[in-house]
Amino acid sequence: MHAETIAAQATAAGPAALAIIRLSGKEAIPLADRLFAPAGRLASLPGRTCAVGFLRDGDEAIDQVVATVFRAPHSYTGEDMVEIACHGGEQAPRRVLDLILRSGRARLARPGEFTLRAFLNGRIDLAQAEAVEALIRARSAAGAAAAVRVLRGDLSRALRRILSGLTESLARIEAELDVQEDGAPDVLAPGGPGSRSAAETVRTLAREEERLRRLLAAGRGAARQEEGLRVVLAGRPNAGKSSLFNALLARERAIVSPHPSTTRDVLEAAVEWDGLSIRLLDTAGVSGSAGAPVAAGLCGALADLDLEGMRRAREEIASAALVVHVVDVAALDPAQAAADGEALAPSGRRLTALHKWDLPVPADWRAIAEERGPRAPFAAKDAASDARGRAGRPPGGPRRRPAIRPSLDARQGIAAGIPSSVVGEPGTDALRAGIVARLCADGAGIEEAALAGDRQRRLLEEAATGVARARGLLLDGAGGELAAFELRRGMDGLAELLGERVGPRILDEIFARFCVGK
Amino acid sequence: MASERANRSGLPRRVDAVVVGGGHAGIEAAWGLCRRGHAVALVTFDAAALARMSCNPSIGGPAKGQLAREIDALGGLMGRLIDRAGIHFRMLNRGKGPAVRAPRAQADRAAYAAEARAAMDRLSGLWLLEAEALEIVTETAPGRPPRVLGVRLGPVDWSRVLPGAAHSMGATRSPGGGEAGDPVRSEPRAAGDDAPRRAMPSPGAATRRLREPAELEARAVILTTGTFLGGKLFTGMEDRSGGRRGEPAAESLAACLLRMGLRMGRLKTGTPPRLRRDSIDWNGLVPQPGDEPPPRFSFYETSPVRNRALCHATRTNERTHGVIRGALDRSPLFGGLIRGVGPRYCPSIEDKVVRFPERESHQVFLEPEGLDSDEVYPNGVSTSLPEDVQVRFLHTLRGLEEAVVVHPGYAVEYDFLHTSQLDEALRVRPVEGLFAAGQINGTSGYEEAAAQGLIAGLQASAQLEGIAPLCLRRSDAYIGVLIDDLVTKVPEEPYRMFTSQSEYRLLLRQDNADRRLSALGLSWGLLSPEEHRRAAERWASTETERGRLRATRLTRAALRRWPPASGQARAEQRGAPLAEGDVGRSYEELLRRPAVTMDTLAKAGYRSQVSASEAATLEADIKYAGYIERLAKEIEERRALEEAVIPIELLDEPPPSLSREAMDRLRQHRPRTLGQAARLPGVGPCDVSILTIGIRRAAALALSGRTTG
Ligand SMILES: Cc1cc2nc3c(=O)[nH]c(=O)nc-3n(C[C@H](O)[C@H](O)[C@H](O)COP(=O)(O)OP(=O)(O)OC[C@H]3O[C@@H](n4cnc5c(N)ncnc54)[C@H](O)[C@@H]3O)c2cc1C
Repeated sequence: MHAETIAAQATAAGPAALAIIRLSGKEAIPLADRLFAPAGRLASLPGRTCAVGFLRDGDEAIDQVVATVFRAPHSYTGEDMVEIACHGGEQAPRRVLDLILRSGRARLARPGEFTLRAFLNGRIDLAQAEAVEALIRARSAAGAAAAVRVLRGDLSRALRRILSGLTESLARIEAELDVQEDGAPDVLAPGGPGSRSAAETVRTLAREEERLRRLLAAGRGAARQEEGLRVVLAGRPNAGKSSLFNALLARERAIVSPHPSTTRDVLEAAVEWDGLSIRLLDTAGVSGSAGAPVAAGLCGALADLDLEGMRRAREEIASAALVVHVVDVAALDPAQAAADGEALAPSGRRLTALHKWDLPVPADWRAIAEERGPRAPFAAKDAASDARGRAGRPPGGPRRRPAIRPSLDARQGIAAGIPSSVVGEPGTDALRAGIVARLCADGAGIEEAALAGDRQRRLLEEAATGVARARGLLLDGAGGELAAFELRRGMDGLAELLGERVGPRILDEIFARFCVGK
Repeated sequence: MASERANRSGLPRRVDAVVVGGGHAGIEAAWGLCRRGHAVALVTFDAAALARMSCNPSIGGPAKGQLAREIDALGGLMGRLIDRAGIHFRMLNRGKGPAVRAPRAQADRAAYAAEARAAMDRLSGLWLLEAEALEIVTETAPGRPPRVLGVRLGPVDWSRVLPGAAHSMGATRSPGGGEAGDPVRSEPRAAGDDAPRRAMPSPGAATRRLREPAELEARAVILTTGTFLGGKLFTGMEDRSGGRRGEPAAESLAACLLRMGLRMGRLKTGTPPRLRRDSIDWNGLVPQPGDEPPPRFSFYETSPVRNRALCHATRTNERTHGVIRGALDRSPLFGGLIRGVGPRYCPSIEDKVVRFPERESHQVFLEPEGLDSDEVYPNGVSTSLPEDVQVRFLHTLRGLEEAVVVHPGYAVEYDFLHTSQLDEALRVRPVEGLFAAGQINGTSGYEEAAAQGLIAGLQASAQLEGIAPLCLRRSDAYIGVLIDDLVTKVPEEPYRMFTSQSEYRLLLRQDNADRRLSALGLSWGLLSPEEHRRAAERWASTETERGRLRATRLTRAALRRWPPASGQARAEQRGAPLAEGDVGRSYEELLRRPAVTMDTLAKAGYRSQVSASEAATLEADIKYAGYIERLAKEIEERRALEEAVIPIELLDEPPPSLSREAMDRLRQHRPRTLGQAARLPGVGPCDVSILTIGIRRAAALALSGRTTG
């Protein structure tokens, strides 16, 4: 069994009656038991049975829950596991997970880690290794996309600024420890004697800690806004994105309040389809200073956006849970459409809308539709797999390069496209159902979105704790090496979140700022 | 294992291993191999220049001191050599935490080389050959990597070294220099020939100067050629071939490595001018004495070490910087002549002046090159400016107004091996039987070189003996950090150890290196059982003392005797003083506070039963206890990763779901373990998961293959 116990929310974030938090590993049962009232109840449960009770944080009851205990090897991962079903929404699951992670006896699972453990413990057949690999890759991609989503724009800038403040402080501390030999004040920053530098470090740390805490406080509100899976409409100019956007919203008039997004480039609206919260985005928010469409690919598809709009649209596409590629079947042949689509987003995150199908459909498109036969238009094979993403999906083609000649995969993507129209037949019902089906099939996407939010909060909290401890140690006159230890542990996660490593940055910073050397 | 004597000059025809280069890495490698009973040829340009200090005459300092102590703890040479040849010992960072305290000693450069020579002379099974290694002879068979057969040697061509640059440094006067035109000298040079102070008997080593080309057969070759491969020396706009002042470059060997298809890069480093001692005006310069008692390096030696010299400090000023700025157009660095990347942590003075224009002054330490030496090393003014500029800027420094430059400073640019070709045993992967250690691997510094040399020697032994290689992890030693860093990232500048390179700094201390490593030293035959036993006794008594501290509780009487916080502690507003509420707490608990030290306890009447160095270890263990626990947990959590070996098939054919960058890195570096793979840049957590699956699958397939086939 693995040394570490892992935990994560296993269900989608957002409005739902129930949420499930999963724990796996040696500590799973004892830890859950310690947080559970009545005490000792879970520890004594036989495998595959459950108990109703309260989770408590000290004396405070957090939520009434149903806890199901699985004992190794009879569990999904093959390890001891506990599944805690608590109330849904955003508050309850978050508090439960926080409580578990704060104990220090479990850490947040990485993308696909439950499945990885299931495989490593022989719960998944060796023959499925490739499927598991593909699943982990897909989840990690979804996780990365989700992280980008949580980290878009301002937040990521803010984090970078904090990280750079912390890097500077750590570099000061390290320079003092490592390269400043006694009696060699040469390594001091241009800013003067050591004591002043120490005071400055303490001040910087206080400032960055404050920033982290503010982000954490604000993050709760921001996360609410972020709720929902992002579905982006993209395609060439005049493909009919905007009218499709409106048509998709029109059916939901009762519960939808379309509002222009904060930036002028992208239109955004929140909808709830079949219990899924979705944010629908239209990248055609900018009316065209349309340059001549480039032959194929992303540039073509986005040619109606000015540079800023294009950047924003790219960001949205990169972080979307699903990209709906809107193809005007009257304007593009299937090969062009396939090439466009491939350049737009990996097929695993892309759905094609064969739009303006109400108009006379060109022969080549007809042929494709007929070839596909009577299958339900959106019955992509993906839809069949377990909504929780437990079973492996066959690997999609996210690693293929864009090519003028569309790959087999891209052509199949086109073939699985869903006819749609704003007026008349076939309308938008099938497309809407297709979107929901794909999002459900992509359990990964849903779960990772929740995970990314949790992870980010965790790391911010860890960073804040590390910074606070480092500052305290400096004030107490404990060694700089201890402050450096705490600070670095706090920074590691933050740097990872931003896709960096702390080590090399520190040396760079030292050499750039301090004149070291004999 | 015995070597065969093949010709009348007494040269062996076959040895077990050849070590090329008698620098800091080379002597440790030879030491390790010989101690394990192998017949070894140590081939070097100048047998009088063993372990010559090319640059500063000192060992240790932050992180380097830790390395030196680890080398010693394992049973290597460096600690013992510097204890004997040291003339000025200090413990740096005494005012800081135990994890960053580091010993440093000024060496008598000549004595250090002489001690190294004496150590080699005492080694049985060693041939010390003064010759140039020209070529590595390999055997190639289809479908297999080339395999080392031996080394082709030639006499050293001293005529290639510029006249006037006699190949001598400091007081280590080599008779070879005067006999450059006499290639036929055949008598073995008596040991201690160049060591005026200590003439050593020579029971083991046979020393020969090669007169004609020869070939040595060996199954293992360790390259420790330092800055000599394709070496080029720069002073001002002049450059010439050379490995170090007064020594030729290794051109032929550099060409051979390229022919073998090895990937090489280019780096540079520099050294300051040397000054004549009696031309310096010492009055008014601030003297800097060594610490009393002098902190020693070796855990096992008992002979006394002594402070016998002083260092002095002076500073550059605006005028100095003016002279330098005015001559930048004559600097090979800024003139673009030098392409190699120099170390940022050891910038030349012209670098400092350019990069930190707001600094009005830089400190310069004047360090004696030796007790009898009339040369002084000005630490802090490494330069490759033309000689006349060097003289002019030096004269602007206080005390140096009339200083005479004995040798000008210079920069050296040299080839190094791309370390993606190395594995953690310091094997050069593409060639079977080839090892590399020291500056050739892109590091800089005597300690970094010696550490690698020692490991390469042991790893080569392991290969010769067919036993499992030695394994030092990042959590075991700075040596482990050093080697892991080398094999997982190719240095972009000469790699130097800093304590911040280790995530386990609080564990890897200079004071506990013996506790971490001497069992290993014993098992590899570098330490005698007696040496190990004495070390083990020290730890036992430290543990006993810890028990006493735990059992001793603060009484009212002791509280009244408690010394006031030191001036320094008060000035830094460290921690709160003890209070009534502390009565009854154990001394161990009190020691966790920053302001309480073993010294404080002693002043309050506690009588410790351990030596000062053991007390230091104890204090560190107690102060860091909470952190040490956390680190132990981290190490435990990483263990599975560090122990998971990646099967070759997986490297040959990486799983297609890996990211492209991860795949490239794996192919290039061929990490042995999952832990190493995870540290390669561009390998993310997801790639590690995918590799985990691959490892499991390969293991299962291997198993089923065995049962069915
Ligand atoms: C000019 C200069 C400045 C330096 N400045 C610094 C500094 O500021 N800080 C610092 O930490 N380090 C500095 N160093 C580096 C330090 O000297 C080295 O890191 C250290 O000595 C490397 O040890 P080594 O054993 O790898 O090689 P070296 O000590 O260089 O020894 C190499 C040995 O190999 C022999 N050799 C090479 N090729 C052959 C061959 N083909 N055949 C036979 N023998 C051969 C040479 O004779 C020599 O004895 C400097 C070095 C130089 C030359």
